[in-house]
Amino acid sequence: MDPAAPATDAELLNPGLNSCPGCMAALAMRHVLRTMGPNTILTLTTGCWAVIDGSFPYTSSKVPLLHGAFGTAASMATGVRAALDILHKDDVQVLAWGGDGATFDIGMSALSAAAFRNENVLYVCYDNEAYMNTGVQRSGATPPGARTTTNIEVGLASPRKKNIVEIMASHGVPFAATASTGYPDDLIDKVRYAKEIKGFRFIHIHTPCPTGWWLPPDRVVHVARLAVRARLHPLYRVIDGARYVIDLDPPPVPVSDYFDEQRRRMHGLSIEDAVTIQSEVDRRWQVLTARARAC
Amino acid sequence: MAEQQIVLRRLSDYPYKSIALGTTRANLTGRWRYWRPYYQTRRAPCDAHCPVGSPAIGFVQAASDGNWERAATMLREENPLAAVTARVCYRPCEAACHRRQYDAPIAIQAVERVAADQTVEVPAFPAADRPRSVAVVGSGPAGLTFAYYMAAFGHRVSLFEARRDLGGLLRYGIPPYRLPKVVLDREVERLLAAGIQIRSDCRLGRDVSLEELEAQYEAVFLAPGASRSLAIRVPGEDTGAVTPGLEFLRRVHEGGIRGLKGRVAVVGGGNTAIDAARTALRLGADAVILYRRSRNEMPAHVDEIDRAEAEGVQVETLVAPVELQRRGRTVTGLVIRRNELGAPGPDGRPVPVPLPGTEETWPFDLVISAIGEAVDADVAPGLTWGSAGLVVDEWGRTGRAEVWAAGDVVDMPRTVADAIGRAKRAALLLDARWRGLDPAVMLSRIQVAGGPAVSMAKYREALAGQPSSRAEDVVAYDQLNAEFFEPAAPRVALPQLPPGDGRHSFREVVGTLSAEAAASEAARCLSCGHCNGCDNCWIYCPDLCVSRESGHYHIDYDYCKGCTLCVAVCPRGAISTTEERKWRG
Amino acid sequence: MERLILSGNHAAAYGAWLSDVQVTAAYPISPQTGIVEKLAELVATGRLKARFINSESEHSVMASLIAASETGARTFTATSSQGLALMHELLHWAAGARVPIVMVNVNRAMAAPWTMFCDQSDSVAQRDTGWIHLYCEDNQEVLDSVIQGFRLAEQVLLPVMINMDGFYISYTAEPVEIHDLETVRRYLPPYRPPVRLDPADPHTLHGGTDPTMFMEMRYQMAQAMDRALTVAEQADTDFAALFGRRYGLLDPYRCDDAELILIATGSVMGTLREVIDDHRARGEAIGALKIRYLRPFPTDALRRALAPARKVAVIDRNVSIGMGGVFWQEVRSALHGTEAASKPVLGVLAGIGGRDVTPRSLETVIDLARSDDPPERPFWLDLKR
Repeated sequence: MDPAAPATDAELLNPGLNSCPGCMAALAMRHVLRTMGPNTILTLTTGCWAVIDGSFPYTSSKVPLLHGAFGTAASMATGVRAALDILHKDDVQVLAWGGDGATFDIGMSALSAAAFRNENVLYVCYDNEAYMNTGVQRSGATPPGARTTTNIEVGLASPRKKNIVEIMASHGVPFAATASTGYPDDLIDKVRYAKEIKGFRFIHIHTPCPTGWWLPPDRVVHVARLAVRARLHPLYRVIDGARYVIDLDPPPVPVSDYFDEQRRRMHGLSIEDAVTIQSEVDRRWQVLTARARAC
Repeated sequence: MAEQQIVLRRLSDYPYKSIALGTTRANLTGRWRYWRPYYQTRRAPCDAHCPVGSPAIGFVQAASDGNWERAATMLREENPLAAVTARVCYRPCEAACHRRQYDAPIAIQAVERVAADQTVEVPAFPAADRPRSVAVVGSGPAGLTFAYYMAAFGHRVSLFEARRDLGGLLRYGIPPYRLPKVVLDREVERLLAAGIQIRSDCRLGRDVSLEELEAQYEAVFLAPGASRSLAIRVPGEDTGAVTPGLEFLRRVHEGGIRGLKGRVAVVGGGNTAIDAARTALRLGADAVILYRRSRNEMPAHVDEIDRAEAEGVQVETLVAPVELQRRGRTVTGLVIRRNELGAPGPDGRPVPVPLPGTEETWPFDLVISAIGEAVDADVAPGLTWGSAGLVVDEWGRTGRAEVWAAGDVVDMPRTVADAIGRAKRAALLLDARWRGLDPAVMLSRIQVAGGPAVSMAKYREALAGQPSSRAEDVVAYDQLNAEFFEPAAPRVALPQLPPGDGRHSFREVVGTLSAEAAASEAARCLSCGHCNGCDNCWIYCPDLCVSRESGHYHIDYDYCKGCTLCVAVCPRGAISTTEERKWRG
Repeated sequence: MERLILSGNHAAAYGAWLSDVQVTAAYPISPQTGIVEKLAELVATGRLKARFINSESEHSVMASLIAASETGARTFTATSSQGLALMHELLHWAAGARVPIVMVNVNRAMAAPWTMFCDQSDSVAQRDTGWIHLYCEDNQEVLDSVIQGFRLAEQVLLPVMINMDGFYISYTAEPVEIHDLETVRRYLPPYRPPVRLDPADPHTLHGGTDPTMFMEMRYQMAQAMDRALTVAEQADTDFAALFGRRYGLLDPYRCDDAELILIATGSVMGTLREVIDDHRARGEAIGALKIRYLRPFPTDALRRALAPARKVAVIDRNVSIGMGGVFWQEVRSALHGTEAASKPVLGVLAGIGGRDVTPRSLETVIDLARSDDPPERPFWLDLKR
């Protein structure tokens, strides 16, 4: 990048966020908003970001932002879109923003309905793999072996993580993709792509959480990148529910490298568990690459 | 830019429903911080290891932008003999280059060579208030360097050279296949343009004395080198049957020896021995190097040894000559005895232990001794001489007022680069003294990574009263972040004559890269310790605290929470942290 | 203006059409489905220029409409019982957000046990959400209340819930006047909120509010609800001037000299008026008072209307288990602290779960109210013992 050139996409957040130091959800919002541009309305549901934006009477957002009840990001976005369309403002972008709790769990039915109706909105899920805002309780995005305050099972006895992008792809939406704050250029690229098309667009951003994963803040980018390289969160997109494209394939690492970075969080996994997970990850990668080749 | 706090005191202050009235700029999250990140250029290892104080990373970065004028200007300011070092230096920069730990080091010397070939004018050095008169003895790398800097500062310099031509070992000791004479001539001419008076064919101790120079000049710089070849101590040596290596090379250079037949023995394992052997080869003889320790202990650079062998020089290790075989005045051979390595001696190197009963007689037509050169204390008997050379202090001063020295005459590493570096240091410190500044303070200001090299750029800064622009801690590899390096690109292959061709002439063996090839090699540079505007800090800051403006980054400390992600993701290690001192007011 | 035979459901849908609703979302639930279907038809045929959202749940319905209203669109929906309960958290939200949504609720008893039939337990359970509540007696009133409701909502910035009895009104057809659209537009100007979601003028709405600031927001709602009493009356008066029909906050029927006043809401009023007429024909001083607005509660109007009576009976088609009928509680609370507080107020629980309230049932109430020793605790009418 040329440092002499001015920033081409101006920031659409003010500093002074209430996020923890090293918050990847904040970084995700920063880049998504910057790329979406000022002609955007943001519907924000309960979760870390409801707090990060700041308490009344302050806000960090430079775009219109509507706070809503839990699980309503998709239904709010639907309402905003309907009003904009009837008011002849169909050029305005609608951005629904929810965490893994809001998206995988309590807001799942609203999400599925909006995808089914092919609502012309971009839904972004920032995934820190637990209900972080309320103190690290498990969610449908918590991977087996991760420590939370509410999982009773240990290790691989825990339920598997939902594959939200596959769920969205099975709705046949125009665009469903993974992204990671470890690879911001890829995220920005995907938002740019999504901005140009209509219909229901979904991006699942992996946002490791220093507070909830018991990591020093300055390690989170590395951990995010390891998750991608370990192929636990591969970077790919699905067009129209059928065409698979692998966006980035950085040099792979074994899952144990990823787990080794998070000993406090992944304490529930034994070495044998890691082997089992590795073969499952390898199998899923084969499936993904086969789909990408077939397209 | 912070905002005011909003306080709703009365019902009439409220909006009609919960609409935000201000921004989070009122929330100064900078107060949360325990660690403060800050941009701090650190020393790159290449810079830190260069004995000359050459701005390796500087000219490499400029070259990678294709800005050869800037590369050349930066280089020439710090290294007046850049075209020479670009050919003969043994590249401690490349040995230290951190990219070596990732794939292969940058070919810094090859980039230096392209930069050195550019014609540029170095911006004028700050002129001395009062020009002084300086005598320089010796026109080798040390003498030329000292003379150049002094003249560039505006002093009146007279350079005394014992031989007819300038250059010292550069001309007489290093063969043209390593350093073409036309290159040397160009370099010398460029230096002389600074305004140096020459007195050649004038030998210290014979034609002029130190005392005379002290009387006529305000300072004297001694760099006569060390050219007394050490004896290999075999019977019959002093009859002239054994040719000292430097003398051999000089005679070849002057045209006194044009061809050689038969087998030549070169006793020794250093650069001179290698040069003598490869020269003998080029004159038509077979060359055999005899070295008393093993290959590992050979002082010559391993690249030179490899190259010599590739060209056909035979290297025999753990052998020492015992006796000359002669017929009349003609040498017919050497009796050699084999050694084994013993315990380390006082210099730390293993002592060669002769193995009795292993003598053999090897036929030779010429025996060359190249086991080292000693200084000649007779040139200035009034000074203090140690066993390894003239005794000088950290600045380069002898015991006598305003008599300074550097180069092979002094006890220091015997390389061209070191000679240039020490001479440069002496020149800057003497100049500083003459400006009324304290050289000890100045030395600590201009040292590169703790010395011995010094930086002309830092000297300019000091003279201009500017604060020091960089820290001198050297970036360690683990302070870089290899995660963000570009995928591995192979190191450029240098153009070289095949050994089979090279050995038949004195043509330069290693060629110069094209500017494009050098620029793309330079682009492999990781920019250790130096921000190169990659934007990683800016892109990864979750709190919008990093802004960029005309190639510089700024941190907004009103909001920076000290997560130090910027430090972690900086591929160059150009951001440091310090503790935020909260409780000490 | 045309007259059509319409069910209550269709009357509601026409009310929304006449009000130039811009965004509607709805989830079907008996006995409300007619509203959803008629709206879909009006949008599909282009008669209503609106966006119709096929939401997948009532919770999403209300979330979508809050968002649409915040974006500047006039919004409408309809639901009933379980659906109303499912959107409960968002009813609080809509009121606190001060968005002028108008919703028709078709009163149906809350499960368990499962039922489809009419009572008011669904809507009275939402009394405390901050919505304006009114109860309609017949199909025409439903259509008219939707139009009045938008005017009221958009002036005071509180959402309005218009209740009609399931089946008795929703699926019973009556002649209904469909007003002239242009006249309605004179009565109801386009919706222009002071602040809306608009990139040209960005605002953040409803961020977390701490104790030092929250109470005043609620107080502002209370002030709006107080203003609603006056605004509702004015809306009613203006409506009468244009359309010749007025409903009032309360509707006293032959109460001026009544010794006994029976209070009721919803479709029961129709039966009650007939019974009152019978007794009046026999010379008895008896009247009926229809409560139209539960929120804001018209305390002053109620006290004036009940002034003549020596005895009052309140017929509730709902029960707050453990206390009694909600309207009975509200009436007694309104009379408290006045001379009238000493009047006996009989509480009657009738028609719960859709049990018919017949003229004979109402005779029982009158007898009970007149007896020397009327029960103090709420009386379960027509209960099998």
